[in-house]
Amino acid sequence: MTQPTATAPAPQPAPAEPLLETRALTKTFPIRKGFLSRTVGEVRAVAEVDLQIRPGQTVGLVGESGCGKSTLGRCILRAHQPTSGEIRYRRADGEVVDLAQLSEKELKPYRRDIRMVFQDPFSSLNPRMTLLELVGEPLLVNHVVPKNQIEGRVAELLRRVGLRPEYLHRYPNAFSGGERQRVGLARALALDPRLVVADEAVSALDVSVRAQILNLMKDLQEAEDLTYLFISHDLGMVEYMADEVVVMYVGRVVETGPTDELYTRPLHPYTEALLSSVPDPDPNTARRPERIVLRGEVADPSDVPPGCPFNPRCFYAEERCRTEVPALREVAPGRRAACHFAETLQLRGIEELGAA
Amino acid sequence: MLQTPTSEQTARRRVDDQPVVLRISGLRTRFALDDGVVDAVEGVDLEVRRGETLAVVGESGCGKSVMARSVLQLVDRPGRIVGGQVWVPRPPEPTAAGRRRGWFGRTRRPPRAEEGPDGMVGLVGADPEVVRAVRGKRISMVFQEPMTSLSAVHTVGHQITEAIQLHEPMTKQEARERVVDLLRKVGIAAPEKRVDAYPFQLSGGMRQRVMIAMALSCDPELLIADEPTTALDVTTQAQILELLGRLRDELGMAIMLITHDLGVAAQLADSVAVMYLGRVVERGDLAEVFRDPRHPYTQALLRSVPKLGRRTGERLAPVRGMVPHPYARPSGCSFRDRCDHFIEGVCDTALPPVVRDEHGHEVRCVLYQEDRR
Repeated sequence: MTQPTATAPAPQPAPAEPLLETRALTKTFPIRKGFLSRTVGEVRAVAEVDLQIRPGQTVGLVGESGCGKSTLGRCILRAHQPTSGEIRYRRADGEVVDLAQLSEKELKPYRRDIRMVFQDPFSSLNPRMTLLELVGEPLLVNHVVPKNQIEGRVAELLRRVGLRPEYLHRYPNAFSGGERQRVGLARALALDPRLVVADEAVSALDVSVRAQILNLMKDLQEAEDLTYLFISHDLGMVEYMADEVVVMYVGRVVETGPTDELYTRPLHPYTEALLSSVPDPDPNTARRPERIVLRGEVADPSDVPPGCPFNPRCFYAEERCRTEVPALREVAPGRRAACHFAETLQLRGIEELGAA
Repeated sequence: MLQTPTSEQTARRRVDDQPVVLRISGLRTRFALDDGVVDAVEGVDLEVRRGETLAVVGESGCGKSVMARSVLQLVDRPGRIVGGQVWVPRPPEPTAAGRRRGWFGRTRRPPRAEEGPDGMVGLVGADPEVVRAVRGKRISMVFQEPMTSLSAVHTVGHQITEAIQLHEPMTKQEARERVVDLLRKVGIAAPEKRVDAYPFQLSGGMRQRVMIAMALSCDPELLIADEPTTALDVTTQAQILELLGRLRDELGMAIMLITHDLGVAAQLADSVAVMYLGRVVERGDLAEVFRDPRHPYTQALLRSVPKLGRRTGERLAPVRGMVPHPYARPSGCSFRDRCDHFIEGVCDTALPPVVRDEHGHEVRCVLYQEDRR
């Protein structure tokens, strides 16, 4: 009944129970200096993030580099140990567990449920392993299939991601970027996961191949009832893939909402600026004069400005923004934003920014 | 016909009667490797006029970067330019004092370079002296990855000063003032302080600004920007594109923008050349090419990009298959294996001719040949 590719704003309200939910998830990295490696400060890469991922949906996580979106993805996988906060995961039997507290050993069954697709298909595949070994590795490690059946299973997986099973005994160097990314997908799918974290999974690919992989991910989602956390800096791709979008800035979530609504009517000035800076190949709209070009650079996460972290770059900032940190709050049903003036600002979405 | 913004039309008209700052004719660059020969650039003809911005778009491996490097004779071995010529306006003769002396102070013979029409000289096969007078001075280049193309052990100021002093007789102090000016021009805050910064102390966007400042240091006629924003975030990308556009208008220079991002091309360029496997398959006014793409590859490329605000629920239409391996190029039209309009016996036998319409919109495809329609 879940319709992952449906684009009409949620034909049926998605099941209320999220598959994965983070509560006040925080990850800080210490800054060490000197001979004794004393901690002199910390980088708050992810700061009190509340995120909800509903089953069968694709949640797009966008933001500039350094905003903590990859760290958040890795915390959910427990590739990083979060500093504080909860990662509440709903198991297939309906029970909710907090992944943040589990030990490595207790975590093992969940490692099969939550898988990752990495960004760079050239460095994420071991060049000395054949496709059979690469894709078969998760099967072997988790004792899913008896050894003598692995080959058949891997061939089946390769077929599912659009690779020929004859390639089984070849090494990654024989494949192009797009094909390697398919191998990465096959590896992630090998254990029938429920949630796949795709961290910039297509960013390294060429445009013509990128569309192939995006379509493949959509098909797989439909066929296998997958849930994606789609991390990307490309708003065009996120719009194409995601049902719901989360915008991050310097470790914080600044805005969330269903894709269509968020793109047509952003509630946070940062989202507006992001939308406006996406280059559009349509020659009629490409040179819109009212493009917003942000001042300055992304704030340093080890030295976040007081008040709203976005205030030095914001065109609407007022005195209150420099002193008081805005909380992420529900502005409209299903829409949350961390801006003091979310209700009063009239921000432009893609329709006003684009041609229409 | 669709309404075009008027500024574009005037820009286009203004450019047509400007002098040519770069003319590439039949350029061929070949890499002879141990296990095969790769023709990275196979007969490219392009022209850039003063004040014009030409975008060269294509996927990775289509030869756009090698083409740009060939212009400045920067192709590393085993790559070699095996044909064609790169014409540029003749650089001014170095003054007697500035010219390098040979052994024992003997004046050398004047540098040699192929003479072309309209007082142009060819860079291919020219004496290094001629190439050096052009490179960095008349034509400069901004590379893709600012961290690897800046020296990590010299300050930013030192690196730009070096470029200036190579081309212009200036004292260190004068050059330093010029550098501070340049850094201010490219929008770096507190340039007096940043002059003495090392690249690692700067962010990616700032490094790219430094690269641009270095490229602008000798007032070039043409700036070749090879994927200038690819490593940057969208918001920084918007800043850099705005900067390039502003500098182009202020300084009246031409830009050759090499990019795989059609959106970036649309934002900055007046005209566009689409490359596929070493050849230009379509060329013309940017607004026209993007509105009415003619070559099947250009059409497919434009279709496969998710566009903001066009969320209609329909699937993206990717280009079938993948870029063929450079050792094994298909005969005839190199796009034929991925093309939806493939005509057997025509596309696979001979290289399609270039068809040109009255507006100068060129396309290399048999579909537009007169006698076939």
